[in-house]
Amino acid sequence: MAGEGKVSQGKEKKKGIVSDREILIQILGYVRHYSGHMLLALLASALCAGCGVAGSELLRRAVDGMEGRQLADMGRFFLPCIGILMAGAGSTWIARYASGSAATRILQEVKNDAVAHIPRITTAYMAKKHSGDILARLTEDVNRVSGFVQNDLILVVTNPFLLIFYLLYLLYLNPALFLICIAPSLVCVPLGAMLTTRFKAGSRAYMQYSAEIISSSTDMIGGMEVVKSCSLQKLFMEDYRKSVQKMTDMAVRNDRNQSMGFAFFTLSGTLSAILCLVAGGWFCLRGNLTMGGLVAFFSLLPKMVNVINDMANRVFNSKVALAAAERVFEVLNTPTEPMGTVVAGVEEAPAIEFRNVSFSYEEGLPVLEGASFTVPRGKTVAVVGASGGGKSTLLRLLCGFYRPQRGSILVEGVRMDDWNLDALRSRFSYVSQHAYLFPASVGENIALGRPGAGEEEIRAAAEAADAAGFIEELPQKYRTLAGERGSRLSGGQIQRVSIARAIMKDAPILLLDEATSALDVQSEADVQRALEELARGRTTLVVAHRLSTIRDADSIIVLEQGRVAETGTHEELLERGRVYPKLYSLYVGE
Amino acid sequence: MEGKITAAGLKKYLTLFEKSGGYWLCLLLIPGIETFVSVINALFYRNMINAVTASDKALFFASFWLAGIVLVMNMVRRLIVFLYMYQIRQIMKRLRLRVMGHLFRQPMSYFEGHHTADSIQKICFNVEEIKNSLAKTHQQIINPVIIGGAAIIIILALDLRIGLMVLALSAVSVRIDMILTRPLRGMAVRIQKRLASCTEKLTDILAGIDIIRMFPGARVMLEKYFQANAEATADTVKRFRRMSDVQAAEWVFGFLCNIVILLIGMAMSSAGLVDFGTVVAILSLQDMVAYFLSSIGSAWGCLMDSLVLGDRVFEILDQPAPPPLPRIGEAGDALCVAEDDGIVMKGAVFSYDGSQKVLDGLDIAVEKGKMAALVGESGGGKSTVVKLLLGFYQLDGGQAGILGRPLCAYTLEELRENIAYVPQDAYLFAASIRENIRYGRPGASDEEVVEAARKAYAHEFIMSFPGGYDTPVGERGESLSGGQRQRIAIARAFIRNAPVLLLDEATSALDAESEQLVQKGIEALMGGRTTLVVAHRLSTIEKADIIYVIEGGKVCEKGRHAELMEQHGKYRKLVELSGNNGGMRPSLQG
Repeated sequence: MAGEGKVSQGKEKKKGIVSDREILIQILGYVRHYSGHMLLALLASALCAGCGVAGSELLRRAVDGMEGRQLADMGRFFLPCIGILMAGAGSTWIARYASGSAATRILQEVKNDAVAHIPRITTAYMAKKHSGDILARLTEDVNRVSGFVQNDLILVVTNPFLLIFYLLYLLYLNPALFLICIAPSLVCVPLGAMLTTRFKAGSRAYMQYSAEIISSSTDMIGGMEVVKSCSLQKLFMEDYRKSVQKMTDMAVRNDRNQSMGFAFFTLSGTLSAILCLVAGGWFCLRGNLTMGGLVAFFSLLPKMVNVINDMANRVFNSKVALAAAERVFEVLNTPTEPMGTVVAGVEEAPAIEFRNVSFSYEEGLPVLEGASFTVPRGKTVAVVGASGGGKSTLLRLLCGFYRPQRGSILVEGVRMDDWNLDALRSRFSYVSQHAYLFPASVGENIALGRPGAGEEEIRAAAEAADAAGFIEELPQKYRTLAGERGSRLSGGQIQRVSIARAIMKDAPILLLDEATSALDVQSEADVQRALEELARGRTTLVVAHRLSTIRDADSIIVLEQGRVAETGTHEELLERGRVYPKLYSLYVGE
Repeated sequence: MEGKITAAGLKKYLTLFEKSGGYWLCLLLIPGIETFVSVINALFYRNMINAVTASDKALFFASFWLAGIVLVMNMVRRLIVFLYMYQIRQIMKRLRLRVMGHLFRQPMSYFEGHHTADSIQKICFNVEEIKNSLAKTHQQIINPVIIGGAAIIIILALDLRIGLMVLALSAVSVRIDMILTRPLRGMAVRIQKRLASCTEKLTDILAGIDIIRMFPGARVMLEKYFQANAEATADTVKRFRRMSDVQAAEWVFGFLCNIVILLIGMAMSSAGLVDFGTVVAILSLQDMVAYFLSSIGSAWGCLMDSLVLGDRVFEILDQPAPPPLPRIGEAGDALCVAEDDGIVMKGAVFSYDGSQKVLDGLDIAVEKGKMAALVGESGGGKSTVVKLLLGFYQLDGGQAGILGRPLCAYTLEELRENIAYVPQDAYLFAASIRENIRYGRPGASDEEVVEAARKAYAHEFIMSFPGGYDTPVGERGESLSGGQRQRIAIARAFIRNAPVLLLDEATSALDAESEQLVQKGIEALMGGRTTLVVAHRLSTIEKADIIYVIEGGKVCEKGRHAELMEQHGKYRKLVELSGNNGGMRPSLQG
């Protein structure tokens, strides 16, 4: 098994995938917290096996000693019997419970750690992954690891010892016979084990396909309105059928590899047993071996063969588990957002300063190219510019979701990289275009802005966001559930709850991606009022779409092709601007 | 039916595996071959030992063919196991397709009433777990029954009286097991629900990750996951405790059975009722019965789990598929749909929940080729009209029709073929731009896709991406800006080229330039089509051939812009409101 491990390691290193050993070490890192449980399970399973042997030994003696004796004599077997019974029941119970509960708790820790890690993963990495993929890793794949930790881990450790023990004993009994019996295993086991590398790669592919199916299913269910209105059911069903077929084919391929591997192991086991009897019998016939020796040898051989077969089984099981663990730990090992240590800004420094900031999501497609501007404290600055010109990107950079490739961003006089991210984010209230409400109660969603906020505070924030009115009219008021993606509230209502959430946070800088999308006239007026309330007394950087916002701003930044083309007030820019007058004419629809 | 395996439940469960005769055959063959091999093996051992003891070389060599059979049969068993796995994969494939196919047939109300994660849990995770039932649970039940059953038959043949006793003991043991495992099924249901809740929480976290990053209080959402995970873990551990109880009990009972039979056998043999050799033989066979006994309890537990999983999947399969031809407004089909009617609704009554009427006698009529705008406060039922026309829901009363035919004269597919629908926030699938446009009409050529993109003013920005039309749009189209997403949705409507256009207007989240482009795209799209717009923009509304002001599920005012302005009613108030709050109302601002 060790040799086989190396083979797969060598191959996988090249592909940049962590080795089995590293994964095992990570698993063991978690198992360590439950080493007591695992040790107990180990001892209990040993005791349980011992009880089984003792039980049959007791029966054998009882039978052997029975002939000619009276039933009454059997009394002396009574006490040992009770002893074995109790020890057997106890150890069975402990072995099962200790390993089961430890495995379950270990996986609980792994899952919790992974979930706690998710918000720390860089946005750039998350953008590349479909949420369905991460979902698959933390559900299906974790479950695959679970069986391994529960059943196989102990045996993977103990089996090699058992095997060595049997090997040595058989070698001691009869070296010649031993060599003959072990010969098939020497050929077949490596052949079978070679297949495990392919099997593991295949298992990984299967899990990936499975995750892809989950991702595409999520997509299909999410876009069901489009699916139905465009009558895409057949097309999507066909795609789904293809994916399922691909997954099924991969599964069958894995089964074939596994079956062939098992066939080699079975072959070696069966051949060993037959060779033992044939060769041993031949030795006996020739007088080179006593009958007793043969029987002793033969009684032990199946046990060894069993261990080998069992190990073969475990090797394949563990390959699946390791491939799954790899996927799970990949989530835990993803790069996290870079984090500095500064927790407070410089008093007199401007709220926000961009110095020659260049940024692109994808290489070759620059979004910002040397953008520089300053947002003084307490002022409202509006960003305008063409579509896809990087306006929303400015806000995302400030939130620390992405890092600029060149140049630097200062918030309250401290460079982005030096800020502690939690402290940095506590400086901002960010209201994005797409307000997301968690499927929790409306009150809870508002309270997210300030942990531990009381009902009064929630009410006050809702009041300020002009949301209290409609919330009071909801069937369960603040306890009403906001549905998945807030579907039970209208667009304007969702916006206002998200604004209440931002008011609750009460951060000194407001980042506003102006979005009054899909609002009817009345809601739009309400949302606007709420936003004005929110901006009061704060530094505000707003990606503006509304003329009133732009005209009222203290200063306007005009973005053009990733650069700041011009800045100034509305009047100034109208007078002497190069780009702004053109944009303005678009706004007023000339 | 929880906590109990009923015949009806079992029968229903088995309907999950249609057309799987090969599977059941393999399932029976595997233990059959195993038993056969053990018998031949025993014969081989006996012959070899006898040959050696009697120095009978002829018998020695003559026994080789038995070894041959063992070898061949062992390999055959491997092959059958592979075929068995193959069958499982095929069953799984069919099951996946069946469940997904059924999900696709569900009406929109199903998707609006169920969390996406819940559907994913069922169609992906629970279905995947059913594989374990096929591969393990069924074997755990069938194998002991066949092997243990064979042993009992042999015991009965050896000695009827002892055999009957073994049978009675087995029955008692099975009964005890059933009692002990009774609480397990309820637990499995609970654990499944808890796991589903974990999945939901995780989905929410993934969807709202930016909020979690920005709001310190949003860690509550992580806590909720930890909580759900802790509950699932606690229940799983509890279940392990129960399972441990069962296994310990099985151990004790197996051992006791051995002793009881030994004692009785000994008593009978000392009374001369049976010869001792038979007792020994029965004792050796008793091991196989014990195997049967020790597996049945855990197998029973596993079968319960399988049934629970089956139930979860049936929660989808048991959803009634909507009738193929929804009869919308059956009452007076012929009544009021005239030849030249583009879109018509007469006295439409509808409620989502059966009590609160969203539409309450709504009348609208749009001539072919004309454009109508629906305006009014949110919650007034505007979007509902669109959903009804798409056949997502069915009217409770009144009639509706498009293109001179009542809705009920169309099949759902025909109906939707005649409609291009642009929702407020069009869902983009995690595919390329090209595919996303082509979803409007699967089968459209690449040229047609480009043509549609040009008309929707999307071609230019698409070509600015290094990947052009093959650029992936990311999950939910997140790598595109809001305006870009909308233009793709418009291109999708263009390529659909349907005579009726339903538009849920959402253009205000855009900057001035995209706004213009989107608007131009929409205007081009409207050309010559019968259009119904849920309108938020006055510029759109002004161009409408007819405007319906909807309030409380009824039309309260209708007419052209100028006419309605003169009426000094609801409409005028709405317009004035929007003028005052400085919204993006180009035509009024300019």
